[in-house]
Amino acid sequence: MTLTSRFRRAAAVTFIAGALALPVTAARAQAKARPLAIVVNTADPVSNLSFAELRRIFLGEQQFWPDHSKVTLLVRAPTAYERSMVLDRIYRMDEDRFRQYWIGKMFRAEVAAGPKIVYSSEMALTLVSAIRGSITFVPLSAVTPEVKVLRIDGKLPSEAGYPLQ
Amino acid sequence: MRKPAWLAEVLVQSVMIVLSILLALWVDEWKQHRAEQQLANVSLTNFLHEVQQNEARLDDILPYHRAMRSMVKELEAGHGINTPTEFESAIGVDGMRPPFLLTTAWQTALATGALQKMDYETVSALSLTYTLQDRFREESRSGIQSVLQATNFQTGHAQPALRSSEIFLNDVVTSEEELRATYAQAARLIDRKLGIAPPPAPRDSTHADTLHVDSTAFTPSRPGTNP
Repeated sequence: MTLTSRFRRAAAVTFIAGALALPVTAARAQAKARPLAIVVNTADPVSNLSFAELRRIFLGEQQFWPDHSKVTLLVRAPTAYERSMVLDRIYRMDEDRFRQYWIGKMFRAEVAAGPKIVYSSEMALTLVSAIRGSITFVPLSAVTPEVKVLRIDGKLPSEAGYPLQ
Repeated sequence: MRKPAWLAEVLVQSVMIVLSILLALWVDEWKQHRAEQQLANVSLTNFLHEVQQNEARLDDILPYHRAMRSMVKELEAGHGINTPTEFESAIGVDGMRPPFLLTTAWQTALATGALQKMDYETVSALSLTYTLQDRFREESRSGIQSVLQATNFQTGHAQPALRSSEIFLNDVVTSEEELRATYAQAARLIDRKLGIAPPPAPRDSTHADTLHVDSTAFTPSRPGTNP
């Protein structure tokens, strides 16, 4: 093998590796730039959750707030980066497993229904401000005063150590 | 003239045989009645679970559909959505879909003949419940079709889709509320037939799996709510 062909092969491998890594790096950079805020209705009796409690709510294992009002979980439709981040960090599942998970829970009658779909941050915020007991996630930059931002493990989205940054 | 002793014995034995047969028939009938009663009770219990599950599904979706209806109404009034793309990204159609309601108990009762073992009042109430449920499903299906047609956007405007969505969500919310009230009545009737005392608290909070959260999350006026 000549020096030129080795060089070409090395360059090709470097290029492919770079191309594969690029979307992941870009997504991480995007996620880092836009931390997700967990928001609830202002009437909800909660302002701080541990990450474990947050997971239990999003997994449908805890379906009621302490005042017995029902938790209504609103989740962005597929392809939104917010959804990908939540699936990755909170659910630790891909799209297929996520779907299977909720179908399984409904089949076993552990939940009445899966999460409700929202198509935009604006829709998520409008519905959260209207539905008592609802919870969702939006980019911190989209948050409005009509909803309450939860602290996770005692930290707000802008603070260091927040788990959805 | 004296009757022979054997004749008396034959008569006694005949009576005993007839009585034994009658007793056996009665026991058989009693066992059959008991089995039918058990089938009816099992079926009623299935109906109760199904009605409660469907009720929970409506409880789950109703606030969401109500909020969507308000949102669509505001969007329509505010003329904030003008193009099909804006409609798709702001509202979508999937969220308008009605909940999936079960009919397994009804189908099973029809297949096993359990309905014939129930009294008229119960069968009539259950029939009404499932007829309303069928009607709701059919109306939702045709309503979604009309929304989808309106979202074809051949005109390039979002207003017809918004109008159609608002009408559809109005109908859906009304039907869901009616159906929910019907389920509640059906559940009460079945409870009564099964001899179950009505629950002291609202149905959805009796099985509340409450959340244990940080006590700082609560207002001091409600310390008792913190489990």
